[in-house]
Amino acid sequence: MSLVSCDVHGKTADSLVISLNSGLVQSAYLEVDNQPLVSLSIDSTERQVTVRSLPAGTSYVRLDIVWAPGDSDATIDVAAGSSPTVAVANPKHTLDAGNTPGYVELFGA
Amino acid sequence: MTMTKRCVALLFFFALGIGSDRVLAQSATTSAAFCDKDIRPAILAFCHDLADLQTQVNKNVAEGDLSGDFNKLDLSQPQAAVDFITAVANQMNGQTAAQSAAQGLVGWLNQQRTDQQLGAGASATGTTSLVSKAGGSQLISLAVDSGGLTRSVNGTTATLGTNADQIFRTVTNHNPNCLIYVNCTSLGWFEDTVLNKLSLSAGFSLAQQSTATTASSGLAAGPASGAVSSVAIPAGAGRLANIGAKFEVRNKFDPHQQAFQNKWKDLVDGNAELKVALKTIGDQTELIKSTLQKDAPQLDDDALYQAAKSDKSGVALDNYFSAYFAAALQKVEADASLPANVVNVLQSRATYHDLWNTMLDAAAGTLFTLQYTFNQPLNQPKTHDFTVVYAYSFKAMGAVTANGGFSLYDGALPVGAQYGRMHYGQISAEYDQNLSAKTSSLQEQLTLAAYWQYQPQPSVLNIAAGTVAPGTNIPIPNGTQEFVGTAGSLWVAQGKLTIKGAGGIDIPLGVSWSNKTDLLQGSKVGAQVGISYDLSSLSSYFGGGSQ
Repeated sequence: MSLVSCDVHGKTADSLVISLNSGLVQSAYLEVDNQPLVSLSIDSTERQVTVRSLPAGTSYVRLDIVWAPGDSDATIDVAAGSSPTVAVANPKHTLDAGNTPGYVELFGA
Repeated sequence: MTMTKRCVALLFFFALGIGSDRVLAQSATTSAAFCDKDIRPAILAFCHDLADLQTQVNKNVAEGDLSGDFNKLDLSQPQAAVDFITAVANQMNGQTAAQSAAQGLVGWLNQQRTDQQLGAGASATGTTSLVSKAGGSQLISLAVDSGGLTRSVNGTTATLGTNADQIFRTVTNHNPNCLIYVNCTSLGWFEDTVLNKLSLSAGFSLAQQSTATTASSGLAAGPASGAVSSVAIPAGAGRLANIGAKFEVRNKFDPHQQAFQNKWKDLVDGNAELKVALKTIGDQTELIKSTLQKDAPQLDDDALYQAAKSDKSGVALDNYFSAYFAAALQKVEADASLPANVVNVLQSRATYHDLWNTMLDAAAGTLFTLQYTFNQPLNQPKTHDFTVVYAYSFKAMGAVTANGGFSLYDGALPVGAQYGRMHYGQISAEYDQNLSAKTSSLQEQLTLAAYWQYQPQPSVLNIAAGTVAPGTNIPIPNGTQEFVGTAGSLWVAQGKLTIKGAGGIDIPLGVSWSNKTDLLQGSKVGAQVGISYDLSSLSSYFGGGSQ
């Protein structure tokens, strides 16, 4: 899609740290059209995933998430360590609790 | 209120009190939506997102601020793939291989279970189960067991079992053959906390043959003139022998407490199997996501917004989305691999669901089952049997089930009764281990069980008025009760092999030894054989269609 619908956007090649406030991410992959999946690193809280270089155009991050009893929808945000030009949708988008995988849409301008 | 009614009421309210705290991620995040009673699978699967959108529109949130909500409903977007799979699994209901595969999946899961009991309990005249298990029937089950364990008379008992929730789903036309958290949604609090955990059963004594007589142990109740020196062991056929209820109890827990969350995270981190299952779901979802991105039409955000704007109740939004979903499904169904891909995801979700529930049991604490059985043994006083069942799984190393229970005589004791209210107390345990590889179509389960029962008094046998004392032609005028057998300990050990077929048919074959039986002294070596059928696979004939 585009800048309008994406969850996180920034300049191409920006680094970003996607953060959730719910669920535990067990594996994460960067998906770019016609390219193989790239495994992403997850921090020890299992709620932050690092994308080293934001691809140009639309791409997706697939998050394999374990939801705990009582978890609410996870808000998609970016954490410290992200390039200053990285921003999230306003209002912030969410991932539905209980659904796995969750997809985060990125856009690199 | 009779004692029977008091017992049932007590069990029911106890069950309500303990079972009300279970909170799953699904129920915690689903608002009181206008769409959660809709019978259309697509609306049910996307209900949470439709409700969110309608709520925002009703609050006059601008269309431009709802892109996150639109993404989740746009089938050409990856964000909609998970709910699409849930919807399509039921949309294909009864029409494609998807549902039959999903039903086969339930059968496969039941085959792996070591905690399920479909037949009669230890005290029946025809039974193959020395120890009561924590789990019961999935939809409706029928078991026929032959051979006694604690009883002197070998009989044949037919047991009809059901899960209260599945019956509720059947009569309300909601698919009973679904897995919560996999491909169905909850019908509410009462379903989650009460019905889902309640199993019911009724046992019918088909045959109870005996020609034996035994020495009486003394007068239990009645006039002294009615005492007899020997009694005939009762024989009968075709009668309701017992009714029972089982309620599964999980320890209370608060998912918002830090201690629970820490424990949950530790369990997740240490569960390699769960990570693999999760990744498999993701990888298989990718295939369907690709089909959707390629073939599904893009959602007209503006038209959807206008539909929501035109009707605050959400009906117009539902109708618009339902039409969009149907049109999209028609296009993506051109991909011949779609049904198989959906089935693969469902199977992976089911494996994950099983692991997730096991982890919840471990995080929340010990799982107990409370069991109540009202027994009507032939020519013996009726009893109320209460049992607490504890089960612990060692995963690949098998499972242990332990029972503790007691039995009380029903109703007012006869005047001059030489016995008290307590019939017996018992403890028992069994170890179960699946012997076959999980991929095998025939599963074999080995069971080793031991049972100890203590009776303060010998068993009581009713001698009806007019009965002729054995060996005489003297009728007993007023009826009486005689003690038969001995007080004290009754020990039973059993080894059993259960062959579990893929179609829901189980065949248990057991051998047992006991130091005595309820009415006779002296040890007994017995054999037990049975057949049970779980009718879950026939659920489509009961009319369930939606979630």
